[in-house]
Amino acid sequence: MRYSVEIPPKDPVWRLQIYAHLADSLSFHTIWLSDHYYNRNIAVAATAMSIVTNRIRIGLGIMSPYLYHPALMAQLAATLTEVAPGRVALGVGAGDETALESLGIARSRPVEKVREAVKSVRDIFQRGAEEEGVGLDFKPHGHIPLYIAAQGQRMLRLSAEIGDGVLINTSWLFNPQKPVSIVRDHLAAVGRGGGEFSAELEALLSIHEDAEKARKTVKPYVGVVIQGLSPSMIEELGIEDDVIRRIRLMVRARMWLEIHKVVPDEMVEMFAISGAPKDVRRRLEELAGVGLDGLVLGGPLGPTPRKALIMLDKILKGLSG
Amino acid sequence: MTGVDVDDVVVRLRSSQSRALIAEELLDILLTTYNFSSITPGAGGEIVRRFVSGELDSPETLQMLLTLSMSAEPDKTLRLLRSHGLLPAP
Repeated sequence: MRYSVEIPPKDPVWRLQIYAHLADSLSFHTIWLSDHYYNRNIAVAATAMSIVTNRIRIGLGIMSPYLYHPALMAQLAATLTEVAPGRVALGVGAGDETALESLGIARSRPVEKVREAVKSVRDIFQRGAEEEGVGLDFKPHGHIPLYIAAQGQRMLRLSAEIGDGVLINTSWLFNPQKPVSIVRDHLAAVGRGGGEFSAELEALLSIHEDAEKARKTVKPYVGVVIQGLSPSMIEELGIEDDVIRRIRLMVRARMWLEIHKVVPDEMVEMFAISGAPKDVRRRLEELAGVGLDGLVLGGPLGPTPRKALIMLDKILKGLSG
Repeated sequence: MTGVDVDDVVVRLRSSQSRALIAEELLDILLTTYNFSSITPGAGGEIVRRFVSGELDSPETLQMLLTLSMSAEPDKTLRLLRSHGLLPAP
């Protein structure tokens, strides 16, 4: 089981570099950088983080084909390998519907859109400079694995069909076995062995000696997850319309410091790993047994992210040892 | 404003057994403050350079961290210094 971290570039670049350098010195496999237009730019952040790291893989993503042409995604990932050779991954996903709507972009036919984008990026990586078609005039340094971010069943199956891996949306944290079996079943159906594919779950995480502080810190992130749930999942989980409506209003207004007031505590339990080190350890032990290849621990990590990284590293070393 | 002589505190910090821990705690204050304007990109870059080169608890870095921290979060910084016995209780 590989353990990675997601560091959303919501902080100034210098802070991202501190977290990246620290994560590089600990046991984490990859740093994933989520991409939101209201945060720092992912290309600049990834480059700055690459410069202060030596070992850790830098994951770009998730990048949405509604926002980036596949050639630009390929160009960014390939260029980044000149700073971080052999340690770049690219994640492609449809992206958050609310964020796209706020930019005036309709998220139509998301599975087809992602399929075309992944195929194009792969073609661009494989195409020589002299060949016809869209390509790059340079080669990336090392293999760049292509992950697909998936929440719905069709996207999960697509990842098994054409991805090098899947990043299962954190909204599945309450029932991770289900997406894992969808992916594993489809890998078998298309004749792919599990060894060439990595099934990884994104999980919001907040750790602190004071469990209540940890919970409060993760609530805005849980709010973003809840507002992005599919209608079928909202119905399946029995979440009241009024809760969704209030959370969506706050997310759209980016009222991050207020949103904890409208996110119910039980939703934190459902969509995040949160609490004191012993609570976090227990949840991680449970997740170690569900058939995942990896876990991407993301979101705030804790009220004090630097300390959270160190605490997590200790817990993870205990799990693997 | 706070009546704290940063140079004087740094002198005491230099000889403190806990100076590495205090340096990390000052760094945490800077990493979590919402008072973003008090840390310029240049100062942030300098913190990174010293963190990466393992100089976080050098006297020069302690002085820089303390000065920035007092500017960004004076109350938190004073509490930290008091908790380590570097300042008397109010």
